[in-house]
Amino acid sequence: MEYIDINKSPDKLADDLSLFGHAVESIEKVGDDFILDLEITPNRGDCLSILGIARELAALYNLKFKTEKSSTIKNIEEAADMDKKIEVKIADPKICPRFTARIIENIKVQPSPKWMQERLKSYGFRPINNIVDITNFIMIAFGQPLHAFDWDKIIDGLMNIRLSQKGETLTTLDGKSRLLPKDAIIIEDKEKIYDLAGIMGGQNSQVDQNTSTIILQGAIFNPALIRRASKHLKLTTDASYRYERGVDFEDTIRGVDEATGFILKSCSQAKISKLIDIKKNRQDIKIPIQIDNINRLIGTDLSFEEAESYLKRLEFRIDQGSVTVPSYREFDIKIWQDLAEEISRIYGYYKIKKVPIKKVAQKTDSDKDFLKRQYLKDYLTDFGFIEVYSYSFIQMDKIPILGYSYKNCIEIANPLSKETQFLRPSIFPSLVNTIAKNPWAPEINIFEIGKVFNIDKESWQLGIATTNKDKTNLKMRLDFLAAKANISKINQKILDSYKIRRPVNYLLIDLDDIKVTPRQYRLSISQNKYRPISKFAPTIRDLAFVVEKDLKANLVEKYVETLDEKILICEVFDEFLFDNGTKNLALHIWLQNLNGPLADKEVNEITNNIIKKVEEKFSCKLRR
Amino acid sequence: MKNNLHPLTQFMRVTLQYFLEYGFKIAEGPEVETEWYNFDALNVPADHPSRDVQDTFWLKDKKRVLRTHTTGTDVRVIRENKLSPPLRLIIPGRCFRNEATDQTHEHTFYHLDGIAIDKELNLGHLIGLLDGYMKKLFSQNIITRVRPGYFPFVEPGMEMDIKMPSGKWQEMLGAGMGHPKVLENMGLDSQKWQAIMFGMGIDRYMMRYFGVDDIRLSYSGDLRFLKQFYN
Repeated sequence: MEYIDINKSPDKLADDLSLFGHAVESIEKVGDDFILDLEITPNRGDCLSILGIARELAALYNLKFKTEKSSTIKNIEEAADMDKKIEVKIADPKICPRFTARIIENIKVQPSPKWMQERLKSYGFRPINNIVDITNFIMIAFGQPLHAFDWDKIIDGLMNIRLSQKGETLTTLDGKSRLLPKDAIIIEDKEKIYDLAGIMGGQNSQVDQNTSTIILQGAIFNPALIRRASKHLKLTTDASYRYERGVDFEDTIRGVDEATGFILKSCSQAKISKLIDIKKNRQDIKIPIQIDNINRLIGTDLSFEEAESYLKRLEFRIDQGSVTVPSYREFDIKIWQDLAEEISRIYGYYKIKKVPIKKVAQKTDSDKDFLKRQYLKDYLTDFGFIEVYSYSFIQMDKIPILGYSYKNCIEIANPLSKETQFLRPSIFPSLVNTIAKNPWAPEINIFEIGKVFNIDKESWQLGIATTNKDKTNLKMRLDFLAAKANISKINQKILDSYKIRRPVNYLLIDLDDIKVTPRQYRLSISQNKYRPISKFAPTIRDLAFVVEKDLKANLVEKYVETLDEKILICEVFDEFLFDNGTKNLALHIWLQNLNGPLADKEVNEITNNIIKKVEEKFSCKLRR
Repeated sequence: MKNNLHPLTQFMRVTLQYFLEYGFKIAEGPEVETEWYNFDALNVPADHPSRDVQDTFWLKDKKRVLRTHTTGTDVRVIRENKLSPPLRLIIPGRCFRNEATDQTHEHTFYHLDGIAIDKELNLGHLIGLLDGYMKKLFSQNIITRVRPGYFPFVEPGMEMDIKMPSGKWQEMLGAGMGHPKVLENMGLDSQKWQAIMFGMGIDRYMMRYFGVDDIRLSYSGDLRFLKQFYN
């Protein structure tokens, strides 16, 4: 099927499509063809077909769009009167606003020609037989989902279309027996349900090797009902995906006719019935537009005529300031702002002029909690604590161990894993977790400020923890914050269950209990590039140097970190003056190997090298 | 000792500063959000496939969610405090997506959402503001482009990309003009006021900035990671 002639390279086409609102995920060369994989946004059900994309390209490049019927169906001859009949009953037109179908007899089910199989595979479909393949092929081409039923398997040709009752069942084409929810759209005869309409056919009406008569159906089903049933059954198909997003009410006949043409080509003996077409009245959407409003919204200076010409390229009709929306766009275009987007797409977003915005003073104090937290973060880092972010969840099995109860923790209804089933009721679990994760760290001083969740409210909490046995630092922070809280020790049972082999003191404070006046927070940002960390545990070595008293500790830290790629972190942990005007600088050096554990020999070599280089660089001596 | 702030804190502050200089004010909201604020108020109805774009953690009551963005907080803050334009709000915060984690996927992330409401604010202002932001964050020489994008709460909607050294375009953020329904849900007259809105995930920006190769490291509590970001 060919709609437009374009003379662009695949890359240029991909770029242009992206700038027009259809992001191109990938371009793949297959033989002499290129396959563009497009990301179609959920509002553009009309673009889920070759026809839809061709329409967009025609509008984008302002090309003539060829809409005539393909040659296969120009001379379809309908059997004057066929004995075989169907009786269609639609319980409510809202369920199925349009039902288009045709009976085709004397068909022969066989494999499709190779070219069609290849084409289907390149679209990600599995070839099955000529009939099913043709319905898929036509859906890809025109966006109209089609279904073929074996007419002989349906009693009296009855097609009763209604909403399901809860508890009804159907075995679908994939062989699964499905317990239907209330309000799925089904089709039944007097004995059985045989179709989960718009989603998947029933096995009991399936086209098979012996099928000789089919009902070829191209219907419109209610998008919301399809979506609800599909969600409930966790069953998304190519048909349901399109129905959810909206299928063109005015184009069902084309789908059925084009498929009929292909079936006649495939089965030369086939005879077809008259077209059956039942539909409710549909009103076109009409939207009044004013060019001033459009210009005001998108920041352009377009004349009405320009805007009109853009909309016409997209097949909108304009009559005295009122825009008629093409039937295939009615799911997406409802208000004049939607039309403003269409005009912008044709005009080109990239052509819109950048304008500086004026500064406006704001009266609210909505930032006061944020500022308080930033102030506390700066304060705590000043006193040697490092900031940690943990997940807002608590591991399920830790709830009783940490002394909480399940019923006091907020539970997630649909977690993907046990790790995300409960929200943390306190920062405490996060502190314990962090300490447990860093068994090799010589000394840990951490804090975290985060939301904690109780059944009736969420609130901000500060947690501080240290593995230092000396509680002075913690005490001083607590005094400064002047909050009612206690320094506690993590109890042994908890330490054991987390395999923490050292005592930990901690402090928890609700932020509402802290009264401080925030100052401007720091805006400096680290200039370090991240260095990957190893899957293997680091080795920590301590070194102390006697240095000149004015030497800045961070100079030494930074220098050491450049000496060897296996040196991950160098941090000063003790610094004090001697009487003779020198000072002691004690360093933790974290060594790692990205490819495996570090050998002792290598550790010694690196350490000796550090000693040598630091002694030279800073004219100092290792303290032995 | 290495006693620095978390890289996300450092990065968020720098990011916020750009918008604060344009008169935006920081606002915040709850991480457990109602379905209405997270979805319905933003013109994302239950029966529409646009809901599927965001995998959502639902609470047991099936009425509340872990917020999937801070965009809903825009509506909450303006509606509950009866704020009136001209307005400039910037809303940082932790958000959640119910998905399996790996090197490039994380169920927890930091979102930054901004909204400015005034009588004469248009797509040109929005593009100008965000182009300046990308330049501030990454480089004055960075090349940006805008293209149509779909987010139910804006109309017209757009996305902004930056050009990578490889020549490829990298998607950076989503934005657009506030949808009239959203303005009405904020308690504002949508004929009188126009809103520019934008939203972005901060984690990936931070990773790009520092060269971090695994999105999960931020929440790992691993000191070998955290201690690298000292000043």
